[in-house]
Amino acid sequence: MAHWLLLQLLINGIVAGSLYALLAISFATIYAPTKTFHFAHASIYVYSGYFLYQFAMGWGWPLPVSILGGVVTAGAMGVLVDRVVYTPLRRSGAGVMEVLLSSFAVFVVLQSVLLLVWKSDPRTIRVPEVLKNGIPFGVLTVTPLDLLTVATAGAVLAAVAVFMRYTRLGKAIRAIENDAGMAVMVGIPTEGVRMATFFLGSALVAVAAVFTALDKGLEPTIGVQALLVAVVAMIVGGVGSFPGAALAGLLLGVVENLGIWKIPSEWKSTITFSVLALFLLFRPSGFFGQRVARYSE
Amino acid sequence: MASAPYLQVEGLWKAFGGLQAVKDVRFGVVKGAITSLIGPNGAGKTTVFDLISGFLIPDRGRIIFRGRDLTGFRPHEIVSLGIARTFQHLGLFYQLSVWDNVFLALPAKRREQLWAVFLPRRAVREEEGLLVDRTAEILEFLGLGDKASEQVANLSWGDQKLVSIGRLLATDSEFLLMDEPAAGLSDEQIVHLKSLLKGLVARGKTVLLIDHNMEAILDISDWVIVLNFGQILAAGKPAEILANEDVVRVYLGV
Amino acid sequence: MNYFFYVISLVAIYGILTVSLNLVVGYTAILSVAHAAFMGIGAYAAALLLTGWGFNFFATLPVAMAVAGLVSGILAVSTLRLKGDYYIIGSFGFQVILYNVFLNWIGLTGGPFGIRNIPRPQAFGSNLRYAILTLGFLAVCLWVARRVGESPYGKVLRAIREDEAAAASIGKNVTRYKVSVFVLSSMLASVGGALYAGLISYIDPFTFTIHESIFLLALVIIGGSGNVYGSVVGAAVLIVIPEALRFFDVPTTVASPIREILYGLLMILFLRFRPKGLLPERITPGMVR
Repeated sequence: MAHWLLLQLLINGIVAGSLYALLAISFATIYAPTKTFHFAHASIYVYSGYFLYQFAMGWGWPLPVSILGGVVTAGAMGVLVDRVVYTPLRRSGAGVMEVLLSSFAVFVVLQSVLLLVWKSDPRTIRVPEVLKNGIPFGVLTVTPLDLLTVATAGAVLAAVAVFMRYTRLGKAIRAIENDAGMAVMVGIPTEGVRMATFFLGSALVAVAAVFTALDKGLEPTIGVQALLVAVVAMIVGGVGSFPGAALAGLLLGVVENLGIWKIPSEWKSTITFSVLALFLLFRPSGFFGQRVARYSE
Repeated sequence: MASAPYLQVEGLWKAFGGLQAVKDVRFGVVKGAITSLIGPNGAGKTTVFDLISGFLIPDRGRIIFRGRDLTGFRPHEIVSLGIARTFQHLGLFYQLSVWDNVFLALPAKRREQLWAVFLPRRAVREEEGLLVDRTAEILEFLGLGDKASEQVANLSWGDQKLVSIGRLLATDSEFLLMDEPAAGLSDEQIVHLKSLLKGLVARGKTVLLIDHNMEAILDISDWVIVLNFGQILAAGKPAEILANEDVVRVYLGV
Repeated sequence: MNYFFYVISLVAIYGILTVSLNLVVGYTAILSVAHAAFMGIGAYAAALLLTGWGFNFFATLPVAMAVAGLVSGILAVSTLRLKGDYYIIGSFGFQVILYNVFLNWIGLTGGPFGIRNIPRPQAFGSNLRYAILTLGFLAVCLWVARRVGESPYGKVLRAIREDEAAAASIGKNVTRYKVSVFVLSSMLASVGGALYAGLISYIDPFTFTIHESIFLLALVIIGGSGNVYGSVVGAAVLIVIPEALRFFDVPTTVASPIREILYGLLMILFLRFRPKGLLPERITPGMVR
């Protein structure tokens, strides 16, 4: 019987889903307070993988240092995109649509630069053998890397939750999310907080990218797919609800992987999109979000 | 009941998150009258407008217009039932001309349908001739005739308010909701506005307006409803309202 | 000279694609990142009917338009009633999925190998004649866009662009306008796609990516959002300049990223310093008499 297969797919789903939860949170960290639909987030995702590749494989840094380096560099890159492109555009009086258009342009430019620098061949990152050797549990197998992935994702998500709830900066981010105008009035340095959200969101997406790269390797085109997952999970969870987004990410990973049972894996993103379509049709506010207004005033 | 009211608002409730914006509001509007909805900022006046015009859906309660329950109608459908509104922030089409702002609001233009865009000009000439005349008539009525081809963004605030009224009239609605029509106008312009409003009533329109400045419009109102913290505080003829101690206390903040 | 007419055809086809996208992005301010998907629907519909079913080229167009119209209608109805960002997300998801369909439904589309030997219509076999054909279609497309833009319908689109709530407050069914203009735009894009298939005679999924959608958005912005002639100018400029790279000995693995960097940077610079584009929109005051 295929019970064990289903169980194996469920385990795979949880591993993938824990990274999806990170993706969702990373996008929401930037989107919720700044209302910037940061399409170039897809590029930050890919770049952080290639940074890791460059540090670990190119320059031979130890793996933990390379990972940390990748995450920090990605965070800085996110801030840079905002400071060089979005913020000057905002200050010149451009609307939401122009900023969004510019984020597409940034995505295209970064993507092409990546192709020129690292070429389009797939890349793999050498990982200590022990991490990839499956540990059998009866007929099921889990690799130490899987366990490390889930543990890291869980720890990072918990840290973000604590950060958002208890630190000054976290509270400031949530205040801006609720009412940007009010936040300015009570003296929250919104520009500083904005930079912090771009750093945090980009660093978070890098964590997801790094673990994906260790497990599956890299290709220049993986960013769009990851962004789609992030956005869909955010919608399904409800825009503005961080626990919702994380839960939806996890769920999406499970649904996609269980879907593989019956559907070939290249249709994964079609499953993702179907979930999105269902929510857009029947529950656009997601599980935990505010009702979506019909007209913006 | 001797005469069923024209508009009947029954036990309306609306909350935004934790904020109860409108609490059990009920009132009627008489056909052919000017009714004023007054109250301090944040009293829930605009929310009541949004509920009547379909921009918000009430949590509880009903709105009956000429015997018809408005619940579930979308904003553009409400307009086709004969209710139109203005916005406090005007919400004009600032990139378009004065003429276009008014012309667009006229109902039932065939070339507003995508397929009819390709009709030869002569097929629509007669129909659109009438619409052109109607637009010119409205602009004339408001004294905007010589500004027809100007871009709305370049007009003064007073003229922009007139355009918003022109747009309202062009919808051909019989029941007009006006959000703060007097705000930001000079004394002179308010006199002009009052005569406009009287003229509208004389042409068979019914008016419900919002005002937070008690004196401005009160003297031409037939009926005044005072809202405070989302609830009706008082309702009556203007003279009664001015003499009402509760109302005076709310306004003076005593 | 033959190559010259090939470039002319390419400019005309991208003109059609950009003008049609401008109806949605420029006139109505609906941001779609799925235009390449509708181009792809047109290209695949035409290619399949031509190679597999022996259709006449011109007979494939109504089919392509019908498919694109139907699919875009479904997408539009389900997402355009929601606020702005949701629409972008819907079109983004749709673009990714359609690319996956082109790539993975190997039985129908040939998957990554694409479809080869797509014939041109017999009377328009040479590059010169094909250029005339595509220019003819561009002219029709411009006529449609002008007609739409200057009609009361087009004015309502501009009204929606400025203030949806205000448009609803004067009795306009905002959703219906958005859906109808989106369907029209997608149908025109499918014609562009079909003409593209005929010009290149070979299509594969890698043409109809989100990058292509963004490229088309860049053409709209650079040419002038809301000005359909600007769209043609934008297409001409950004097709011709990269084509010129061919005369230098640049390998394609380098040339195509350079082309993308070029239009990406131009798009950012235009948004920042000349948001109205090369040919800014002009709205006639509209004294209809």
